[in-house]
Amino acid sequence: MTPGVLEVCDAIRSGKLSAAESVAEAFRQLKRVEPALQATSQLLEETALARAAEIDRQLGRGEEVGRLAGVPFTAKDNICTREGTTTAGSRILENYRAPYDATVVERLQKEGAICVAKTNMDEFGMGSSTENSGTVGPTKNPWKTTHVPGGSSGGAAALAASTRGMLHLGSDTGGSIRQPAAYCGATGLKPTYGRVSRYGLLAFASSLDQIGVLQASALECACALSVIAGNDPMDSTSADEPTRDYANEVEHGVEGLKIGVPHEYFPEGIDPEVSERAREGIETFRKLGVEIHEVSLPHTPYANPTYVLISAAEASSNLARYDGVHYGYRASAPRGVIDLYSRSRVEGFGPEVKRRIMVGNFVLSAGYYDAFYNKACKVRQLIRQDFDKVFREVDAVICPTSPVTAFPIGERIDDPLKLYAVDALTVPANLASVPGVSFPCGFTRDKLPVGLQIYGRLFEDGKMLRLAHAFQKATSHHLTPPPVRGF
Amino acid sequence: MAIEITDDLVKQIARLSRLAISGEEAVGLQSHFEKILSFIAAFQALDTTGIDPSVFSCEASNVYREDEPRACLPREDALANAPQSDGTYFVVPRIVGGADEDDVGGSA
Amino acid sequence: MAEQESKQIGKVAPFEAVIGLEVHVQLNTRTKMFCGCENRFGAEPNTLVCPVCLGHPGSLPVINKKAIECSVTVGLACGCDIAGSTKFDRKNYYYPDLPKNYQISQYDMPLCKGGGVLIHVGEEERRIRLTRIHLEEDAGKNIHSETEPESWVDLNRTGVPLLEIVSEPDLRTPEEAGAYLRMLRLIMLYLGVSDGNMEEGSLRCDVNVSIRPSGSEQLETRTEIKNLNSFTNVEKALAHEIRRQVKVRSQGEEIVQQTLLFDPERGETRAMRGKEEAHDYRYLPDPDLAPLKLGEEWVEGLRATLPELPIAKYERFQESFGLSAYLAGILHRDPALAAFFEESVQLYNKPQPVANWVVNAVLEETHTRGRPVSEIGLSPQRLAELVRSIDEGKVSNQKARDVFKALLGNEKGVEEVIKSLGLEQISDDSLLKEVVEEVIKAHPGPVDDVRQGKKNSINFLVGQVMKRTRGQANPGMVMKMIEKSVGE
Repeated sequence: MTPGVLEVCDAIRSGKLSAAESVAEAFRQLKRVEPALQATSQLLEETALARAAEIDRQLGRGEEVGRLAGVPFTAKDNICTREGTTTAGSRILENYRAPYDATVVERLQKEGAICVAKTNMDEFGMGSSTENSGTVGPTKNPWKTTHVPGGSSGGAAALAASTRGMLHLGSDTGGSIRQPAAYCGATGLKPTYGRVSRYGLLAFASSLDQIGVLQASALECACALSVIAGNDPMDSTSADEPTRDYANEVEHGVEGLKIGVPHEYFPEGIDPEVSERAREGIETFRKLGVEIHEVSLPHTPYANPTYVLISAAEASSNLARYDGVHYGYRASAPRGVIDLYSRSRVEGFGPEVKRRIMVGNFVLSAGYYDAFYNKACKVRQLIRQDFDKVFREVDAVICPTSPVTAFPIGERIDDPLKLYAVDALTVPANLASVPGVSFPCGFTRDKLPVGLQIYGRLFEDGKMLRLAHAFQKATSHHLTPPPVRGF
Repeated sequence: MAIEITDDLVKQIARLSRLAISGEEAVGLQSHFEKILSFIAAFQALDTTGIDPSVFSCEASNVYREDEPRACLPREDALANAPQSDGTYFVVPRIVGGADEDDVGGSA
Repeated sequence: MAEQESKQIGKVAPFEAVIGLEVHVQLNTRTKMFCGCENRFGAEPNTLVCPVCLGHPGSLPVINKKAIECSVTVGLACGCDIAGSTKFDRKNYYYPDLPKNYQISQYDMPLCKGGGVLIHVGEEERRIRLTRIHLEEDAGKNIHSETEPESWVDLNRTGVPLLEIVSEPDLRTPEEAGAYLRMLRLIMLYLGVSDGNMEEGSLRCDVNVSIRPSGSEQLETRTEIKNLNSFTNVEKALAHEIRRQVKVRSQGEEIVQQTLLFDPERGETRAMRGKEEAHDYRYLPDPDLAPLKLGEEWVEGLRATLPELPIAKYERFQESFGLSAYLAGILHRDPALAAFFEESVQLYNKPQPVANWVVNAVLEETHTRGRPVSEIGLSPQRLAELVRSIDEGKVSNQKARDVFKALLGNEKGVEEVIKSLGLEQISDDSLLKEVVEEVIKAHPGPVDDVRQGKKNSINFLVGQVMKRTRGQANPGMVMKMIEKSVGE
């Protein structure tokens, strides 16, 4: 069996595998799948091999190396790395070289992990299919290359499914880790808001964004979380809550835990196969000794509109800095400063980004703030209260990740609202700031993966992963390799 | 709240967003705005009296840093990504007006 | 119109002027408001920057605790209500000196509300009410050229903490506006939170001015004046604008609401060309920053650290030390000078002469050198010693100035310097008596004149004694001795 992250890690620490070999293997796999999947925006071979050589030297001298020494990782292209470029999938940051590393990148590198690639994404995180990539073009789903991998962390999800032995950093604002994980048969973790530092994550919607990981298993997610989680003085929204040994925690049993099934998450119009696989998954938990409760999250139907509004408003402000003055794309021969701004932005941004910026500016503009943004924030409170109430009764909430499975490329891209609809079951986690994890619970007759999702209490990321891990010990959906793979 | 999405409104928002959209894009946007408005109309009707909007996602308050200096970026790094620079400053077309104004005269 | 008249313009019957000031004060914290870059004026362009203040993708702000403390201290000094809960908001607008294209500021929940500032204008004391004080980050600097097709941007100043102090429209004359500004600056100096230097930009001011019929309570259309870079220019601009508005109204026309720029060369205000649009700042609470909860205990802790404020010092100097309003006025306007005075008086308790020396010689020296009182090379101890020496007759008042100059920039004792300059005043009875007798013998004519009541001749005789003692005789004593001798 192809070694996963933990095996690679152990092999390097025990001297059975060198960092150079581990990195070389990573590039082998990445290059093998790239023509079919177009999952990366950049391969960082030179710097990765140099770092690997240094780690091997340290290992040779018997020096202390980090917990993840020699383990390769990819970073979604909206996460700043000094190495290579950071474009957020946008033409407006085409050649942008960040003068600093994101805190999560620093933490991984401090533990000896090596960045091998930046992954493709929907521009600035806006999209659910990675068709909105302004730099590379669409990423394909390794289960069916005519279909989308989901988004916006489409590149990371495709790689999590089609490669082994590396970590994949993604980001999740309304489901951008969990939904592509579901579509690609991977396990995607969005931690509690504030669990992981956002410093160095190109902001989309500041009160919703979180960095997370997409991996082959919940256990790998837990290992990664232990390293990247923790308070960061550079991010005022990162929590003081101490980190835990998540890899250890997930091994504790799940018998006696209580899971709630919210009926609002099996809405009308949900793909019946998604619904069936999800219910089968819930049955599996029952067999594991988990108590299943029927619960209600009554404000669920309002979650998606609330999300669309709040994220657009915050994005319109966060993306104002992309103006052709201090970095990024500048339109040619500007006729004045206003022309410089307006043409650089209209030429540099893709259509979905421009739409959202305008919606955002509209809802924040004078006279509309109360009716729109302020109102949305109040509704968000109602959604939070729904979760507070339910979490007094159960330890976690379980539901399908998306109402549909991976859809064909081009099917939804011309109808933004149709695209927003696939996020309906993931956005509540971001609104309520709770952690969420998606993992495969089966396949459709078309052999497309179906994702099951668990929401945990604030800062109970460990308990939530415990449930996913227990599920994965009892099933093998997450082990099924996709048709397109590098291993 | 019944809002009419007029051509003028779209143009106004485009200016506010500093996006030089074409006439064609403006038409597309008009229809998109209308769809979004009806999408979010649902929650307008929700009763939210007495709810504090509390826009912050983090539970904390008073998150500070001490008044201690940190290393700055060397100037070459600060200017490295600038589309136009003379090695000392960021260079832009001559600024004629005050902040946020439309080529209004006078120095500010 | 004469300058003095101009400053007092405000009541040009039948109108009165209504003036409000918006003052921005740069706090002198070591680092910027939201990042750890040094807060320093005059550095090479674009060298005091980092990803945060450059607004780089992915960067995040973190609040400077000291800036909050300084701001609350200013609020307490002005008697404001300090907010129990507050937050920062984003003010969205585009400008090249604003890299994020939003400024982190405060919108509807400012740090401080209400309060006021006492000012003295001539004999009058007035309290100017404040509307609010809030904290925000400064923008960078744009450099323009009339001839080049480009502008240049320096982001060193981006992110420096800026306090915005908004007054109620309580001011009535340009002179009052000037007094208010000077008092605000003085308060900043006393609190040590800013040097309030308009020329360097650490204190900036925009004014709002309208006129209305005397006695009316209504507020009428006002104009805003920007680009004022000195206290005198504020006064000039106001005087000019008030006259202009009076003229317009007297002709039966309406005042147009507009923003004017002050032209310091011509001493006039002129309208900005073109139409100015109303700004839509699309304020939203900054989701990158946690809200602030300022507890009463913490606020009271800060209140306990407030130093004595300017007006209180001004009054105490008059009451406790018996100084004139004039002397108290000069001293309290320079906190370092006032401290120097107090330390000196502690060592030699004669406030009047000490004050005179401080206000004349010491202050003059700071002006000559262009340096603060701490850098002229004279300690309060040695000044006190000098004044004591004069009182004890060891050196004459006249010669004391020479001694003063010789004390600067070294550690020598006063007595040592007096001796080394050969300026010991002869106050020795027997010595002086000898010389006096000699002079009286030598000049019988003038002595007679004195006996006959010609008082001026006594000066001649004193002068002769001074001549024989090379100016070192104690003239007061000499005068008395001559009077006595001649009288006998």
